[in-house]
Amino acid sequence: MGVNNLAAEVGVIEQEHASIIGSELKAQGDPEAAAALAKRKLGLPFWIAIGFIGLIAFLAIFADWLPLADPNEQPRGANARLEQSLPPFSYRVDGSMAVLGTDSLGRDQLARVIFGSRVALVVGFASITIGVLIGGSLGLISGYFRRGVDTATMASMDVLLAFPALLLALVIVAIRGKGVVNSTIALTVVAIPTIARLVRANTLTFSQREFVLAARTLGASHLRVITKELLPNVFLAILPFIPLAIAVAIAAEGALAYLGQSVEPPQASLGGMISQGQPQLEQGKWWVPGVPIFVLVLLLISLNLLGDRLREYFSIKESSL
Amino acid sequence: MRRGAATKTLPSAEGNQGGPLLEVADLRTQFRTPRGLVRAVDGVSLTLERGRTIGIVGESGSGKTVLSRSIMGLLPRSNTIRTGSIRYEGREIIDFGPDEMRPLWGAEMAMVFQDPMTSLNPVVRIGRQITESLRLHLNMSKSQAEETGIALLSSVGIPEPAQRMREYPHQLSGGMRQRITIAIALACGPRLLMADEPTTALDVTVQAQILDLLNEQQAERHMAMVLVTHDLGVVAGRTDEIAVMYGGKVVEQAPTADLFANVRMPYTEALLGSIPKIDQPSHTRLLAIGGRPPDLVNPPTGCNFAPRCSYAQDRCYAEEPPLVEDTPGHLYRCWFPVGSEENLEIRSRLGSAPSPSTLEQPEGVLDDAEVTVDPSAWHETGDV
Amino acid sequence: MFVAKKVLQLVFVLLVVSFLTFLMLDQLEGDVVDVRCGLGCSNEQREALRSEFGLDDPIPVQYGRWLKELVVDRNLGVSGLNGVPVSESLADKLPVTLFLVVYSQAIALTVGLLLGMSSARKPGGLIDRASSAIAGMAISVPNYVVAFVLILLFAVTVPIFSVTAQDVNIEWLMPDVPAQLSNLGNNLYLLLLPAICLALAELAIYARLLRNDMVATLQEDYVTMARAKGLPPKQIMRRHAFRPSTFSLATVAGINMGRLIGGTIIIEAIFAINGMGLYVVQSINQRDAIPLQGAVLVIATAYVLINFLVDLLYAFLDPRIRHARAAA
Repeated sequence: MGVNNLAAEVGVIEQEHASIIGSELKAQGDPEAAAALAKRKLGLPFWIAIGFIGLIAFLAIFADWLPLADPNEQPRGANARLEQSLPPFSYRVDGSMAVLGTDSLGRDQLARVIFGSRVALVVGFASITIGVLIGGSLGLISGYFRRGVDTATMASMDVLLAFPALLLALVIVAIRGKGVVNSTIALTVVAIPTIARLVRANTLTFSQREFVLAARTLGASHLRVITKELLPNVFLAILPFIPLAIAVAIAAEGALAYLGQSVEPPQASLGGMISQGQPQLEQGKWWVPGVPIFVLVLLLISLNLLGDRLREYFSIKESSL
Repeated sequence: MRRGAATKTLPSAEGNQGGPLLEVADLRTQFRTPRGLVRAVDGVSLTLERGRTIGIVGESGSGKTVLSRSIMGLLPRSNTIRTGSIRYEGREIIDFGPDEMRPLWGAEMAMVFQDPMTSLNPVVRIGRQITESLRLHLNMSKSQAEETGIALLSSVGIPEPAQRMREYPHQLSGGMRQRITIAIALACGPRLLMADEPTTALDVTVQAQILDLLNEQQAERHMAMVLVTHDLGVVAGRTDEIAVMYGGKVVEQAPTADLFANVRMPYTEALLGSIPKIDQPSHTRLLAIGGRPPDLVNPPTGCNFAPRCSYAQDRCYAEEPPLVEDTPGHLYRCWFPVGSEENLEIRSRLGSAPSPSTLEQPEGVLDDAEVTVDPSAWHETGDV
Repeated sequence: MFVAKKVLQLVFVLLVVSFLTFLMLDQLEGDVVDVRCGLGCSNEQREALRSEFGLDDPIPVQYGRWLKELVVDRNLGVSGLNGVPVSESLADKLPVTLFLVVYSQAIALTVGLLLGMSSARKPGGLIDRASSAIAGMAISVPNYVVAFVLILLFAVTVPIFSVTAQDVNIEWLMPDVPAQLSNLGNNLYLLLLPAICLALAELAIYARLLRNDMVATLQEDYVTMARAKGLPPKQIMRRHAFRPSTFSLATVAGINMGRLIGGTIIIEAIFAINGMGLYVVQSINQRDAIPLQGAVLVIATAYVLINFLVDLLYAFLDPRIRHARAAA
């Protein structure tokens, strides 16, 4: 009798799957309409944001092969002073154009902003990727097994959360030393508790859904339930938060760099450029810190927009199922 | 002061003593929703004399709750269209905005809601919830209001009223909470009480007590009452008149005794069939009304009820029956009313089934779920 | 009972946090010796310094000694750089940071509440859409960027404020009231730009949160009931709709105190405000471990205490929780 009930239940679940697949197939049957729908729902700003992030990523990846000025080269000699803190689109003494101007030491802002974005993107993406791997595993495990594992994991996450994030990151960098790797480690540690909590909350909800209960009653191993049933669903649920988390990490990297705790000078970082530009700002040469600020803000707004639109998009999709 | 203003702006209070308290004529209430215009109340006319009770009966989605809130003017104004006429003490109030209604609300007309769990503010002490309208409308001092509040609580049968005044709603049982909402509604001595499914959310054992309390208070105060319910059993012994609503329209209306003695509308007959009766043998199958209430955005042509009516003929799907008067005061909306020759003929053709309606698995049609208006219509209560 | 349980939890978390702080900064201790020695230390001298600082003992012993010093003597050690007691420096700097945090939280709550309530009165209206758009921007832009924009606008272009706020001077005991007031006024003026930088993102979050909760509350039956009583809109908002809408706001405002404290680190650095944040940054730059340890401990403790108070406040706001917990 119990087996019959179970069979019936599994049957229902299979039907559900079939109907979901069916609706996907329907959408595939009319690719143009489906694409139009997706595009209209995500909206033009979404694609502009994607485009901007893509552009910055492209420039950052291929910076070494692009015809850029040396980001660390300072003009020397008698004319050096004439080439410092130039506004965008001004000409150097030798007649070449500094598209985004120069900084207080006369270095090329375009090159520096691209190399600085590279640091920001690497640290932002790497810390959140590792954070999702570690924090996600912790969240999945404690949300699935609950009881002691859950209590212990969440208590340690709470202890980490007892330190303000920026302070914790600063202390970690202070202990381990500056550099891209250590900034990434610091921001990963800061990101883990939040991600773990988010994943745990989602795991708790999905663990109660019929398809998970059915899989468990059918005797699927814990590993199988977690990887085959929970992981795909939980990942989809937290996907929209990833761009937001990357934005937070990039902003935090900027803060670390502003405080001189990210990469070692003279290597460029957005926060470091902003920090070095502060005296120029106070003299009214606002474009010197303005260039890195502009790039940083556009990057952050793009990532936020991406996350927001994804969240709306997924919630619409879910409600229509 | 506000009370004074209320009576002054209503000269009819003295001048129209003879006329009815409430006259609703051809009231239409529509909601703008993304799906289109929802015709929640579609041309309803009612008259209520002082001290009398009218029962509004219908299933979920029939528009009965919208009707009561519409009369009170409590619906969100931003997406609601109200047309027709509502005369209170001879005065037209359909065009009144919230500012003009405010002196009437609580003082002249009050409302008891369906669920005392949600209609009492969970974070405000009971004492304050009951005294605030006393202080506002009757201009009482704090201690006067306190005393009156305690007296009100004991008059609705709440033990240790002074103690209760200091408590929060979650500390009381459901029945006690509904007694409190009644006390709040009665506080300023309104002439008209709207009771919107006042017992639906309560335990069966408490329902009769609450209804008795309402009747008792009504008689004592010579207050008129509109009792909205989905349960014909609730209104049977407690109302002077009953209006049965279906799909936003009144489909049958009659003095209570007359209605039960002489049902004309198949829908009313079906509703009666769905009530368990004490004289039936046990395990008698209850009769449910198959199908769903009509779509109020695109109502069917012809009679609203035709798709679910077992007597429905071609004419029912083509032409909408008008509201006609049978005996004086008894109105119904049907081409082939119960008890008529034509109806008997259809019935014999159907094989003399005792059931007026299709026998089906009981569906949750008569459940106490609320009006099925698109929920987004309730958003944006901009004009609180 | 409820409070007792919470206090027990609090003590436990504080112990763990203090141990972690000790452990983390213990990693930096070796550098104290470096700082003291510079380049010219023999190995013997280093060893002598190590034992002088007690660095040879096992970690739990060191922690116990540190904690005892801290609790019994309120001694957080002395700066390895200039020999100034950490507790003395903190006593100077903590009030400045607290002032800044409370100031910005007050701005954020006041403006956030006003904005949230006026958005909720007409959802989808002009105020609502405008505040939603501004909130989206304010949340994505980091506070140090806001600081640069404000400095450019109000300290450089129109110089009504100073670029730095290093003259902030928090005095608790002034001889007379007028002096106290003028001191307060001066501090409020000096810290206005920094406080706005910190407040902006919080304000946007509060406004959206309150707006959403309030829109939901305004659809509750008890609000319709309050309308049916004839209460004027202001009274309905204030007495019936406001408090039930503030539960999540209170929680988030408490949690965000931590973000604010974190934010003061960079804002104090930008405006050269002589508070805890700047102290932390200077200690890190000088690799001066003991002051850093003291500052981190004080900040983390403050953060934990605030969260504890928020829990209590939450129970106060919602009588249902108060009674449920008392009963349990």
